[in-house]
Amino acid sequence: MRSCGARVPLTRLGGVAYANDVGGMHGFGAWPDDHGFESVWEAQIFALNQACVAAGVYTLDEFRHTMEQIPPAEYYAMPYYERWLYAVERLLP
Amino acid sequence: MSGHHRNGELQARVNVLLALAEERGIVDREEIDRRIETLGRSVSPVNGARMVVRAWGDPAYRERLLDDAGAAAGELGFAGGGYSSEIRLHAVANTPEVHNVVVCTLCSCYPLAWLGPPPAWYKSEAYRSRVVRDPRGVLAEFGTTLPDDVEVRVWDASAEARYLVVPMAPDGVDTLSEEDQLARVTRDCLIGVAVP
Amino acid sequence: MTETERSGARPVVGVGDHVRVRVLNPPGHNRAPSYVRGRNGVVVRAVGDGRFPDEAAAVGADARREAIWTVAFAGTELWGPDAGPRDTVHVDLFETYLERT
Repeated sequence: MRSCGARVPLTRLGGVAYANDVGGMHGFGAWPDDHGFESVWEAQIFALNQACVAAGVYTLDEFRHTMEQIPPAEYYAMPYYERWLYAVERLLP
Repeated sequence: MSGHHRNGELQARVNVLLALAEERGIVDREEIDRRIETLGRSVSPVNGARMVVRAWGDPAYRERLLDDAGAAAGELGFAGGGYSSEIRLHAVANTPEVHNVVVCTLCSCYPLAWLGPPPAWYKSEAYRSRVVRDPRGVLAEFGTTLPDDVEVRVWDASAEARYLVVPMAPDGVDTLSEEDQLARVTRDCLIGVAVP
Repeated sequence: MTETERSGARPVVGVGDHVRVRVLNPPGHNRAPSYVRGRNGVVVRAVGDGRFPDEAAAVGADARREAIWTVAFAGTELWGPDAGPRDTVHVDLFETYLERT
């Protein structure tokens, strides 16, 4: 298994969770207005990740778990597609 | 650090990965561009609207859609794909008794192979955390109020299925042109936070 | 050792069965949302099968496959009296995550 940084699971009602497991949590405030890709690189990392999974370079679960292991404080501060970039940088090379 | 500078740094990091993927023969720049171009052109929420409008006017299609949405999408030329053939589409129909709404609390699973990427709010922690606990409050913020006796059914797409909501046809649908019907079925309707 | 091996007997469930989501806390990847762990629901649909995510995150495409079930939970079972009495949540769960009640 690939390793990528410290894992700091949060403890919640059903047990232990990573930062992605937000169902039922309070306090996230208002959701953003709708918008598409805001930069070229966002569309490119989206397409690159899709192509890597389709080609079998790694599985969706490996991709998800790599993002989940971002420490919670960093995870919530990181823009959505930057999390994707973080994961692909660790899975592709 | 300025936003512009930051954006440049992120683009540079992506460029490194694109070059690496091409060097390793995984994907070249043309395929990356082709995949991006597909989004919004042949893969967009209009595909879902076409399926819904067809189902409104054709009970046999509606039955096929609810039985096997992937095959019913294929009938209209929407092939799916994207990540992998493991991912399958499932359509859930609103009725006078049940209203459906879709979320992915663990990440941002969405029928993107058929509809393109999800809206920004769908991916947000704010929507994902709250809609499973307070669906009526979330729907109200989208301007959708349902009678108290309607069951609000939240679908948390946590495995291989991707969900598409089939809204009820609006009153007087027969008087609307096909174009007007398609315009009523917005992406928000297909997620279930709005109704046509 | 996988979660299934650690837990002993493999649950077998079907549509209509009353189930509880097992309280499992593996150190790695897992696709049972924490808000349903330990909660009771009813199996309403067979989704098919897929690579078991806990393994697929570790060993990739060689992970074993297993059945996925849609489980319906009453909102009040998940959130208590603060939930809407007519609200439900349907969650897709791999069979290992479930036990019959």
